[in-house]
Amino acid sequence: MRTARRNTVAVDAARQVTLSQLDGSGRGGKWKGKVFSAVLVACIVIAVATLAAVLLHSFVKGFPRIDLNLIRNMPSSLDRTTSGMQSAIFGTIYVMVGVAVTVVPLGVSAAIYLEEFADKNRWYVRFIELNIQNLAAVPSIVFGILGLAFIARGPLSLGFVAYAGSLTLSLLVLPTIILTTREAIRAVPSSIRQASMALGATQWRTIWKQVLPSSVPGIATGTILSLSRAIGETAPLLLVGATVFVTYNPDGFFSGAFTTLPTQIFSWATRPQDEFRILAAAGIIVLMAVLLAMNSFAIWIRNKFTTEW
Amino acid sequence: MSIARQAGAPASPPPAPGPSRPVRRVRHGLGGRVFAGLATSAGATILVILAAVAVFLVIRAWPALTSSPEELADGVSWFPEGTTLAGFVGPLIFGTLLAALLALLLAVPVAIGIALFISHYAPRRLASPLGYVIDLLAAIPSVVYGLWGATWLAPRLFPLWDWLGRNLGFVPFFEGPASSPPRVVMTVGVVLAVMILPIITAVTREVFLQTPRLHEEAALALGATRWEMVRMAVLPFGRSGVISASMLGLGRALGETMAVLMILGPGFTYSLALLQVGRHQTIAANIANQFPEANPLGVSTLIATGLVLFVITLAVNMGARWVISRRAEFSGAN
Repeated sequence: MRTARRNTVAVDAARQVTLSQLDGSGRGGKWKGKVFSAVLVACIVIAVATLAAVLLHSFVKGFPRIDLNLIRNMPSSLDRTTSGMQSAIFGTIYVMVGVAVTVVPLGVSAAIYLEEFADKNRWYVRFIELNIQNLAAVPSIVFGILGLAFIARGPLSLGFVAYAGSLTLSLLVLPTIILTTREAIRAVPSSIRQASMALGATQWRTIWKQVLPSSVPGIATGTILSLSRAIGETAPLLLVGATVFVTYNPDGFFSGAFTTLPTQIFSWATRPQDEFRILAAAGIIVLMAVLLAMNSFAIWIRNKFTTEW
Repeated sequence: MSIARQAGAPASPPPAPGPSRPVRRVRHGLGGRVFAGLATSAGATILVILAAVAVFLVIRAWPALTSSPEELADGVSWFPEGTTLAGFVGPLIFGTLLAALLALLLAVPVAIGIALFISHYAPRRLASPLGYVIDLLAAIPSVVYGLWGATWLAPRLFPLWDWLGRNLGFVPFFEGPASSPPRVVMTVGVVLAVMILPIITAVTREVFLQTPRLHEEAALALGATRWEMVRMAVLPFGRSGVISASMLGLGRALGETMAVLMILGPGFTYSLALLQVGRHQTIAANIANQFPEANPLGVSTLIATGLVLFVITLAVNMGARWVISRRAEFSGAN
């Protein structure tokens, strides 16, 4: 069946090519090819120009406000020209530490289970795999609803604190870290495991001493990519309380109101005064700088430490 | 790892052949059992989370689902008088689908072009940096797109919308006059298209790269130009991949909140007029807009709309996965 289908595609293509050569449309083909290449280049240009426009717009607009006040001062609606975003920066740090602490153990353990312990022929294992994909597809605003009504209020009742935001974002990035970790674990060849076991190590010692250390670069890359996704999320945090105008840093993970960079940017962007728009653009520069640094670091780790077996 | 894999794209061959079945357990010490138990419960957490989302949404939406229209109109300040819950959700579903489909229509052709360029046209030294640049579009937070769309893009698009409204106004979609400032669903569609471009590009790129080498070489050997080779060998092979990539992109566009919230001037109608303000609203943006100030019954109503969004995105993604799995018999054809 597979071969038959493959042959049909190949034969069809061959026949069409031969026909086009015979009926003299070959020259037309050349002309069409030029137009086609031009269209492809145009697509690339559109994408790159859009990227440049997005980045430059914020950069040009926010550059005048890239100063120490931004880090030193708290958000203020009175001194618009010196207002800062210290509480947002600290809030983001708290939330991100919370995400990392929650999602790395959970995601890595789940990946170890799926790769090393689970029997892939069992229905529930396939069901878990299916649902990792489903979890990745849930819109972030739905996690926001869950965060508000299940984590901040309701059964967990953490209140509108930094860790409620961390937990909400953890759910959001869990599939990412599981998928990357699984890929890293899968890349460790089975000869390593067999060698370890042949020397008398138990399964968990094999995983702990051989498999995990070998997949650390992959796990690190996945963690950084997940965090860089979480750091820019706004919508779910709007629902778990990061909208309020916060002029002090969070007291800790479980007490005190918090705000984060993206929500602060959003709240400035929706104000009518131009000073706040500039402030929002400055915030975007800071956020994008952090994001680009994280992404380049991830790429660097992947290229530098990936072992070729 | 590319963003294509994160989104559940069809897998390219794994970097190294790992064990297809787990290595057999040899000994179970106490540590081994604890370790296995921890790993297993982490795996089960996935199921618990997803089940919790679904069950929880239904439970919290229940009060709104069982209330009469009068109770809803009395209890919820922004609920329109004289409609049922379905009458309220209907325009929201319409607006959500309209914005997402518009984005898809704009993004898919460009994404295919970029993917083809990177996979078959660009010189190798250019291909991988270009890939990174496109992936970078996916790394930009949605709030940045929202601000950019509202303050930079919208005023620049207005002349085009104005022209469309004046000259093509007889088409229901372009019914004029175009609103200014253009906080309209057409602008939202453009911004959403930019946001879903990287994911569609990444997935189609992976699929195009999997085109059997022999097909390509056979086409070229028979005298096909590069463009003919693409048309006859690459595109037919990648068709289902393009479809599933589009559906993944659609899923993203359906759930996008911030960009819509910051750009669109909301309204609740079934209007097709893409250039007029105050006609459409999406489910996600509506939730973010109303949630912070909603009373318990209002929260329940919004959760009911969230449930609808959850079901729609789940269905779209299941569909995408189904297309990929049907394609599985094709992969490895080389």
